[in-house]
Amino acid sequence: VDRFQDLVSEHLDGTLDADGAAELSRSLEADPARSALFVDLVRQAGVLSTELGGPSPEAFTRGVLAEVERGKSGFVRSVMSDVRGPRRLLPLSIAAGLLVALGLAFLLALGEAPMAELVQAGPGARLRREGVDREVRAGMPLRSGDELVSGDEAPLLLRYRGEPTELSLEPRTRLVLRGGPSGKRIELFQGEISARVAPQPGGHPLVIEAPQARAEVLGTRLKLSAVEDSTRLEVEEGRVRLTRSTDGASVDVPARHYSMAEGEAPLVAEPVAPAPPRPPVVTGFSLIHADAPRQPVPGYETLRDGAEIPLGRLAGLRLNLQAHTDPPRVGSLLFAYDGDPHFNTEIQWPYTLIAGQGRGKRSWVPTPGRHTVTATPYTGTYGNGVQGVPATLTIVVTDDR
Amino acid sequence: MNDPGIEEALRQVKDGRAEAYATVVSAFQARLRATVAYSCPPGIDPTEIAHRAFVEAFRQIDRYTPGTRFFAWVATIARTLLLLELRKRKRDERGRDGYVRHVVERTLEAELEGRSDLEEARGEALQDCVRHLPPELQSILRLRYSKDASISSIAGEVGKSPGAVKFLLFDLRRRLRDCVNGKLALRET
Repeated sequence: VDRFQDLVSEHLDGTLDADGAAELSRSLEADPARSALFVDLVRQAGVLSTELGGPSPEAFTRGVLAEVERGKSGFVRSVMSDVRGPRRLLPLSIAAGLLVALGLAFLLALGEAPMAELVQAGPGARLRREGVDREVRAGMPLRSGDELVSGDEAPLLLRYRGEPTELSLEPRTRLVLRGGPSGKRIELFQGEISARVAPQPGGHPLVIEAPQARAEVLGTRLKLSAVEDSTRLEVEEGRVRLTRSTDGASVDVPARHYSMAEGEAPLVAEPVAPAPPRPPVVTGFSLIHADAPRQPVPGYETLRDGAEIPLGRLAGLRLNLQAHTDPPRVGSLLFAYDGDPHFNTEIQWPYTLIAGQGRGKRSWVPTPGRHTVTATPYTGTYGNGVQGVPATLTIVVTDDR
Repeated sequence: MNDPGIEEALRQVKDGRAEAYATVVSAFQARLRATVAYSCPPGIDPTEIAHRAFVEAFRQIDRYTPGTRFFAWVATIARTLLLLELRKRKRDERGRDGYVRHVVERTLEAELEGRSDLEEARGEALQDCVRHLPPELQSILRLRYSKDASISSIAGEVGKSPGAVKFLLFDLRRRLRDCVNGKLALRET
């Protein structure tokens, strides 16, 4: 009985792992009384979550009224479009349009009305709203403040309401949607998004904020990648201003160009390199100094499979592990480390196991024992494009201090 | 029969004054959300279903007969929406996590198919049972469900071990279930 209690509690508290879920399944299938108790407790948890954790009554009511009002506005527009003589009715149309725009701006300011909806979501994708994780599904309305995380395998696609702006979140991307009277905002914490942005109303740009920089978009197609210490903007059409968060430096990035905000490196727009004629290859690994100028540690320039890393001899050094590729610059490089297949994704040379460029950043502090590192290059950013030839290195870390 | 203020608001909505609908939604939202939540499996958002039910009721307001119970009508709409969602999930078998999800969803689907409205009494009884809990237990429930706190952070807040909080929560959940069953049995007799 205690084990059953444990499993049910973990299920209700969201901490049950796959093995536990399988065990709970077996237990429920074998005992109808337990099954009935379980269903009752799940239903009860649903009521408690809604009663104690849902939106406030005022917010809920505003949300319903917002959608009701939008439905009315849509009706006015469709009636207007059926009326002949658009020139004579233009001032009225403009007035109606202004009312709709003002109404939408007001609703966005309230932050309760749906501002977008999910078009496609793969397994493992989730939505966090008001502190509660929810499973996502196509057609689900999205509101300001919603946090979205795409799954490990498939992208997640969303479309803004009332305009053809679309956003695609690559796997393992996390962001928060924001809306307000001054326009739409996306807070990108990690991963990569591709956006097709329709011309934005009222001259208010769609702003994408990443840890290192922000991009202001008035209407274009772009791709923005964010990893721990750098943000990369690639513009397919139009022009986007990228502003670095730390010092306010900015650069206008034109079509088919990219820019990278990383530490204090100059913020410049570079042409997007054409795709390489053949898939990239990982050619080897080096042990390097974690801090600039990030040179290889003498004696460890080329690590062979089974190489020993003696922590005693390397004491006092801040270390990192670099993967080398042919060609030297690739779109991105994914590191798998021991049991973690997505340990780190690098989008900027040099490609290192531990993210972090320059001084004061993290270093690699390996634990004694055997470790396996696999580096996989890609032609595109953030694990996109054509996958190249990976390489795996086994190292043995010893500590004789 | 609705409250006279609600009847008046519904009359205004029928006359085209959408803003009067706020009075109607405010009056019934808590009850509808709780009622929907009781028949909603994890993965379907009861707030979203209640939201869509109110919007649908507004769109079809001309079909509402003045003087009849508005709540029963909007709850019937919510039941239909919920049933559609459950059937949609049954068609999409991918990503299912086995019998755990199956047993909840099929129980709810069978229950919804067997009646034309939503079960109201259990939600109300649960509210009543929660109200009569000692304040310290109410605050644990609030931490868990209002603030979405983890077991370990609840343990930190209330000065107990995570194991003790886990046990306490399970016991509390079972006590609430027994309390609800007791109230319903009393109502039937």
